[in-house]
Amino acid sequence: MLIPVAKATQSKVGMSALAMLMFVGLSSAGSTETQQEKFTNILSKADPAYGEYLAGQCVTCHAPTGAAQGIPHIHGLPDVYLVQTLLEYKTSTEGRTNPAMVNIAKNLSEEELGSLAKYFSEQNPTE
Amino acid sequence: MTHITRRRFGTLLASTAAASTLAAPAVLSAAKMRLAIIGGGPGGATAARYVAKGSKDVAVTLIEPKHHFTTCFFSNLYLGGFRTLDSITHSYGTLAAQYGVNMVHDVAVDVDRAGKTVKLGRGTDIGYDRLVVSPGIEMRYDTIEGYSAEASTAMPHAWQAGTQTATLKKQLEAMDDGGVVVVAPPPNPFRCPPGPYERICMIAHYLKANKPKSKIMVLDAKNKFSKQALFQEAWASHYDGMIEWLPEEVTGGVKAVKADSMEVVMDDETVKAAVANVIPAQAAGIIAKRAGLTNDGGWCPIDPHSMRSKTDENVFVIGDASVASAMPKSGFSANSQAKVAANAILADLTGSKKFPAKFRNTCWSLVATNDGVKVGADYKGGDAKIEVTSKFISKTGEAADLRAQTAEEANGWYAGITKDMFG
Repeated sequence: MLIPVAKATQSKVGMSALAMLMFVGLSSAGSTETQQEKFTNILSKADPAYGEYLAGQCVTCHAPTGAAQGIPHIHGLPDVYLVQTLLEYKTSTEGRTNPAMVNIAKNLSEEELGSLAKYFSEQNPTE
Repeated sequence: MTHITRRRFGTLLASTAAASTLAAPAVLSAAKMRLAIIGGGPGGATAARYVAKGSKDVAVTLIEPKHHFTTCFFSNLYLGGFRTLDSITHSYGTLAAQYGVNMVHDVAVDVDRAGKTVKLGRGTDIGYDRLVVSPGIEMRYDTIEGYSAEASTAMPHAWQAGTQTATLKKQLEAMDDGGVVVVAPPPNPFRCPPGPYERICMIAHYLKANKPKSKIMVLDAKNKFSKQALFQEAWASHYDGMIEWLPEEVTGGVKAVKADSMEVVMDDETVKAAVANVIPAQAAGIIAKRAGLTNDGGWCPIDPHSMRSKTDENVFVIGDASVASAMPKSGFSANSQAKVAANAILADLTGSKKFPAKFRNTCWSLVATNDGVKVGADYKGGDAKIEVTSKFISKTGEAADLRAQTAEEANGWYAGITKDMFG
């Protein structure tokens, strides 16, 4: 079960720890193997240049620096976690009901979703 | 012996000749393509940063008279006492130092499109290969009899942030308790559709705490407005009895003002105001008209896939000055459009890949302490215009904790967008 991101991200450190926990959780759960394959498949469609371009529309809110201030950090999080999160927003499940993110995720193709996840996973969060 | 082709030889020769008369950095930059940008707001600053970080082969010049930029977004929060003016004022220092943007603090007075040159008020002309025009808005004072730039010092519009906003704040602080604050929202289309109504909330918030016998009279040029149900809910729940909204069909709208006597004149009625916030009709910043980029309505038509001017393929118009509907005129929209334009400009100048135009806008409004609402949409380039892909809006009757979370989100967005603009 995932905690809604906005509630889980009081700090970048907290977010990263949570992300890693769930990343590990995914691979050890057994029944999620097909889900894991799905995420891997989505990430295999990633286009780095397209990801960077699309990310331009994300960083208006998701800053690489500073306190989260109600908008979670996403720079440097694991790509699988980001794919999973975007898919949950796409279907408005697992407590991911923020209408701004639901509205964004539902327009993303698998290529776009994978490209964004890959791009942000490769960015270093800055202080 | 090294093989030198005729073409390569010619280049070397030219470089050597140039090196004998110019300083080394000038030789290096002589080979660069040139992007000039008029206007250092959410559109222009963002375009500068994205093109500069996208390619080292494009020399970016940002023309903006101000040394520090006060954002129009969040300036209502200053009126409400939630922000200082300093906290919404930003420097161009990082754009220059970290991104190599050539800052020119001067006024662009004309554009010679045939000669691809921007004429400046004081300095030397700026040549360009591509030009971004992002001048924001011009007030159409002539649409209200008696209103003018001079009259706006007594009856501020405060629709361009900075001195005007500070003037309005001082007037609110100086007025006696029990006075009438007139707010006159403009006709469509205008900068920041929810802005006047968030401002009404913020003025009411200040008056409720400091001058509770005062009233706000809203003399609208329209009969409906953005996030109307949400704002009217907030007016009733937080500021009951303080705000009277009068649509155009009731008053005919503001026809004239008398700044000397602080009177606001409608068809059949005149109101004497303690403070008058008169926001007139608007058009694209004057340089857009001088450059010959505007239509009959005073705005600049663009290609919805790139923000390229429909008048000149070497020119891009972004932000409030452009005809970008279905997108609203907002700082968020301008920032979003700048990134689509930057992608197209880099494709033009460096041959990099042009991706499909995808835009976004979200407008948060603070209606009271810890009470925020939002509206937003994703957009794409359509056949004739920018089209909505999907949209959302806050609901009336939302729980207090959700509203508090939305208000906090707005703070995060402010930090994000200003970082995205100024680096």
